[in-house]
Amino acid sequence: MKRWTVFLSVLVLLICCCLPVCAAETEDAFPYICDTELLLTDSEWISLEELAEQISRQYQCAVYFVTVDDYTYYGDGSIYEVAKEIYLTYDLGWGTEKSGVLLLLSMAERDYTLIAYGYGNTAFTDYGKDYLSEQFLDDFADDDWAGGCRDYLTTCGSLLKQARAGNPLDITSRIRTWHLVLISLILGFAVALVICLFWQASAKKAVKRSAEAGHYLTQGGVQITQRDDCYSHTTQTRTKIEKSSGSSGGTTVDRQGFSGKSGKF
Amino acid sequence: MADQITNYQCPACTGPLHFASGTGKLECDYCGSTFEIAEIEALYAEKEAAAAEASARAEEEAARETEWETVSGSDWGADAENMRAYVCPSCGAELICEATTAATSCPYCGNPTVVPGQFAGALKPDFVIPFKLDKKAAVAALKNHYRKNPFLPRAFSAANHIEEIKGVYVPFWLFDATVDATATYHATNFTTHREGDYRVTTTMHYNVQRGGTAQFQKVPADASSKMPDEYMDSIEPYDFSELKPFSTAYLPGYLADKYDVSAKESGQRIDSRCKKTAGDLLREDVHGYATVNQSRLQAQVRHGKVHYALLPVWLLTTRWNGKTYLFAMNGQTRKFAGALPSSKGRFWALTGILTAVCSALIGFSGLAMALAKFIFA
Repeated sequence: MKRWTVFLSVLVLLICCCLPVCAAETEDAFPYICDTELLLTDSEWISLEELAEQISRQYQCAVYFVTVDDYTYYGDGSIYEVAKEIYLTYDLGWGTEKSGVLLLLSMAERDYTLIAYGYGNTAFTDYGKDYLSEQFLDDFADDDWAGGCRDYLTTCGSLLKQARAGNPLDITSRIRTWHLVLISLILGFAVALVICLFWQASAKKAVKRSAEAGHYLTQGGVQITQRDDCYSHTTQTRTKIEKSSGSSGGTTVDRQGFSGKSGKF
Repeated sequence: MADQITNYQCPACTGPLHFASGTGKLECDYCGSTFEIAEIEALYAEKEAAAAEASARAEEEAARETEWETVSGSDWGADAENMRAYVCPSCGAELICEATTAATSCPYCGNPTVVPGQFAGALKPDFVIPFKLDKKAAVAALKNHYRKNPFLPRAFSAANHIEEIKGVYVPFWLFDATVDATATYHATNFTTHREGDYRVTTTMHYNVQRGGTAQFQKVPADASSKMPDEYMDSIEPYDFSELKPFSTAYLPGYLADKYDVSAKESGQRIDSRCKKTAGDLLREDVHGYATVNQSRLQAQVRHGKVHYALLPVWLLTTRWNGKTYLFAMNGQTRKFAGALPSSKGRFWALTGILTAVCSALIGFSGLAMALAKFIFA
């Protein structure tokens, strides 16, 4: 039974993917909504495909939504690697830059990955991808596929609009001037207080009992007569390296020019 | 009860002589003549011998005379033990001083006077470091001390008048000691490397032992209970290469006390200071390790000679808001010590100014943005 499901899924994906390749070399020939798992009704698919096409055209950055049964059938490696393979194999993306963003859902283990390429890397920063994921993940967790896909597309639209206006959503977009002023003041006050307290304490300590007598050592009066350094034993500790959750903003792009994030829904 | 005291007088005009810190000679306040210490010492040795003879004769005569019957007034009681009375050789006034006072000035005629008996026999100091700095230098050092403290209330330095400045030869014990010390340390070195998602730290442990000897010479300990130890420690060190054999001729013009804390009592502090220094020296010899923790220190002090010396100290007192503030300056090296009051207003004003400067630096350096990114991430 599983074999049949896999066979049908691959067939649908290939048919979907082959259509744009066979078609005249139009950048938008590839279906933006490639639902091999048939999670969407026909009417939902049509409306979402229109929306995706409109957003892609308007901002010249293709927006894809792909569902598969199990991503491991489509390539080796992680879901992120497989999504990249699909993107490259089917020559996805808009314009010469092949700009685009692709959301791949793998239903077997409820994995997802969101990848960006070309101008997609500019519009969908690491922080932008986090924000985008937050918009659709709750819908997919509730099996609201059409709602999740719509949220994904509309959010992509607004992020692309922001990016085209020269202000892509990044971590810095949330930081206001008053945030910086407040942080500077708090930090400045803390530093100033430490300096002043230290200064005041050292002024008060100007009068203190002496605990040592180094000034009164005679010349050549220090003789070290015993020096024994014996190795005792060795210990070893292993500490798991925590991945830093902090981000300095921008987009982390890999060697192939992709950026992305993965997870479960 | 009255005792004899010495007042060094100018051989030229009989005016009072005082020790001049600038020239290192005895100077006459009236005619300006200057004399070498040795010259005056020789002159007064002769005079003292003659005076002793005259005094013995006078006592014999007095014993033969009849005495007035006196009604004794109220007694000094226990205080008498700590008091001494002397007759000023210049004006004849009776000076009542503490038992430890060895040099002072007459409150009536201002003559600098010395009580040689305080430094007789076993009480005689071995050395003295003469004053090198005068009263003006002490006042200048106090003003400089004020300037260095930004928290000082403005009213303190503006309305504050120096209540008293006195140059005091403070009695010190100078200890020679040798410390034999051994110490054990637990030391480590480590290397780190990455294995997959793990950071592996390999730590090599070592048992380290050090032993050695440290020789100390002339470690000073204040031998006057009237002098706060922390002040005397704070104006250390003295340059002991300028120690001179003791002579009362260095004292006129200054106050001087004899010791009232024994060498044995002071020695305990010296032992701990020398042991601490010996321990620090051994620790400094342990290097090449990432961490070093001392697990044991054993130090044995071999006591050497103890010398008795008078060292020069300028003491300044001021009063402000009903509180007395004491300052001390090393009369040889100008090292100054003294606690000052702190103004809350000035503290917060300075904190405010520094906050503005630090905030601007943090803002412009991008640190605020980096922190904001960390917070918002």
